[in-house]
This record gives sequence, structure tokens and C-alpha cells, in this order.
Amino acid sequence: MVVTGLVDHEWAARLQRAATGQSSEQVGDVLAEHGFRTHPDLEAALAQLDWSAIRAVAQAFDPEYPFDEALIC
Amino acid sequence: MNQHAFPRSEVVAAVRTQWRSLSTDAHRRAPTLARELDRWVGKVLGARPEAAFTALESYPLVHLPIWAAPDLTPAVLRLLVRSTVSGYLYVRLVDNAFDADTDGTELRMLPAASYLHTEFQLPYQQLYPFDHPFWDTFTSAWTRAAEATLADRLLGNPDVDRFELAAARKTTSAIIPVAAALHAGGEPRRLPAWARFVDAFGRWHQLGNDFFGWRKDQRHGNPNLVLGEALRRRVDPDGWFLDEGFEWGAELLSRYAAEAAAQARPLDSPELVSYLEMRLSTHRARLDGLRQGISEQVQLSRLLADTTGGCCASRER
Repeated sequence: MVVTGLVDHEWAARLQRAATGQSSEQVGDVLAEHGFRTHPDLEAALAQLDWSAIRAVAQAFDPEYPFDEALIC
Repeated sequence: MNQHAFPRSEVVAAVRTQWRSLSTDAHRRAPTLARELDRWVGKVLGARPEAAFTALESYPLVHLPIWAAPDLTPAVLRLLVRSTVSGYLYVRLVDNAFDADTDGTELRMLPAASYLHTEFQLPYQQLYPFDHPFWDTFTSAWTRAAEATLADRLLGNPDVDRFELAAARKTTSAIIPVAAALHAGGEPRRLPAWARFVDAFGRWHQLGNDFFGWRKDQRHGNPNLVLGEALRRRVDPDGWFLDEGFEWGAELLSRYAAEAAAQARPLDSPELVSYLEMRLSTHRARLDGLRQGISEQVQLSRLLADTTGGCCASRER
């Protein structure tokens, strides 16, 4: 789930790069992968988000992220 | 200002030399087992196991004995570290196989558990005769941890009460090297207070594992408190975690952390108190960072979900 759940961090990273002009991908194309249509106001709002904080959440709870490797847990 | 260094250099050195010695002895006695063991330890703990054992975020298994008995001799410290490294690897090997967090490696090398268990127990046999009171602690703690691990697995996703009774006690065997150190230092009367701390710290530590690992446990079908709480509320865990579950878990973590800190105070161990301050401060900073991310993610969700205001995305049907 993208809207209510924890964002897939690879998708979030691509959306971040698109929203902040760091990639050649278009925000609309990335959003369309999850069935969303974009709008200029949305793109402006997305560019204002703290994407590094969003990615930190996605990574912290990623089921494949080896958070407990190389630690004694 | 923090005047107690963490990790302690002699503990790091003891882990490094004892792991090397454990591996060397294995190569001499059982070369196939040794190769598998080396490969597996490299995979789960990295190239420097001493770094994993002494990282701030790790369970401080190898430091607890010297915090409990600061006058521990280097020879006893080496024995306790050898036992603890072996015992931890034994538990991790069995747990990984048991929890389905494996690509099959742990199942294939399960016979190596015999070597690790022997090396876990041998150092204590060098220290204490069969009828020494240490063995009462050893037997009860080791059995209690096995019971907790099995009950946790068989009973499925727990609620908070059952988590405290079962899952949180999986680390109860950490009292074993502490008991050995206290007996070596002639202070076994301090054991009950240390046992209360180990239980309280174990609750916090295990909740941290469940809190940060709930999606991994969900994927592998392992029992987990966060999933149990979402199920109890009959809600989708993903959505609930974002809306309420994160704060629910953060609050419970905070309560358990306070209980662990309270149990540490009467132990007269400034190094433990200093470690807890560092560890809990880092933990709180991490939660604060994630809280900011959750807030931003809620904002992102609203932007994406808002299909009525005309300003934002609409989801194609």
C-alpha cells in the first residue's frame, strides 16, 4: 500500500529525485506507476516534503533491510 | 561529560582473540564445520565479530560481566567472553533456523551447534565444580530462555501481557555470564538485582526488535507484538502503524526503557548507567528522526489521497 502504508523506499527515492529535479524522470510518470495523476500544485507540494525523513522511515521498517545484521540482538 | 569509555578496549580485544581461538580450535578438530562456521559468522556478524559484539546498538552481552564485577581478572574475562561468544552464536544459529529468517544456511550447518554449545559450557566447567550454586542459575536461566523461545514461536503473535511473559524472556540467559562474574568476585548476593535488570533490559531490547522488525517478521510469518496489536484492533498493520502504531510502540519502548534504567540504578555500576544513558539517548534521537519522517509521510499520503480539493493527485480507477 502506498497511500496508507509505509512507502516503498525505492519508489519514494525515485519520486523524491523527480520532485526535486534530481532526475530526468517526470513526477507524473512515477506517480502513474501507483495509479495517481499529477497536477502542478501537487508537484510543488511534493518538492517541499522532507524526503530524507520519509526515506529513513521506509528504510527503518523495510523487511529486507538488514537492520539486525552485524549486531547482537 | 561521559567519563566511561564504551566499548572497553579489553573487552573488544577479548572478543577478537576468543573468536579467533574458537575458529582455530574448530579448524583443528573439525575442518568442515570450521569452514561453514567461519563463512556463516562472516555473513551474520561481518568481518570483525568483535565490532558486532561491542556496538552500541548491540545487546551488551560481553560487557555485562565486567560491569557487574569490575575486578574480574583477565583470565576469567577471557573465559566468560569465550563462553558468551559461543553461546550467542549457538542461540543465533538455532533462532535463525527456527525463525525462517534463512536461505537454508543455518539448517545445513545445524550440527555446528554441538561445537558451539560445548564451547559455551566448557569455560564454566573450568570455573565451577558440578555442585556449585552457579549451576542452579545456569540451568534455570538456560531452560527458561528455551521455554520462552518455544512458547513465543508456538503461540503466534502476542499481546503485551504474553509478550512480557514469553518473548521478552528470550534474552534471560544473559544472566548466566553475570552470575559467573558475581560468583568469581565473591558477590553472589547481588545476583537477584542483576536478574531484575536483565529481565527489564531484555523487555526493552526485544520490543526494539519487534518494533523495527515487524514487517520482516510479517514477511517470514514470525510472531511479533506490533502485528499482534494490529490484529487485536482488527486493522491493517501498515495503515495502523503510520496513524497510531508508531506512537503506541514508541510509548511502550519508553516505558520499558524507564523500567530498565530504574532497575540499573541500585546495581552500583556507573559504567552500566553511563552505557544506558548513551544507548537510550541514541534510541530517543532515532525515534525523533523517524517521528519526523512519519509526519512527512502522513503529509505525502494526504497529498496523494486528496482527490476532492482539485489541487492534488487523483487516483485512476
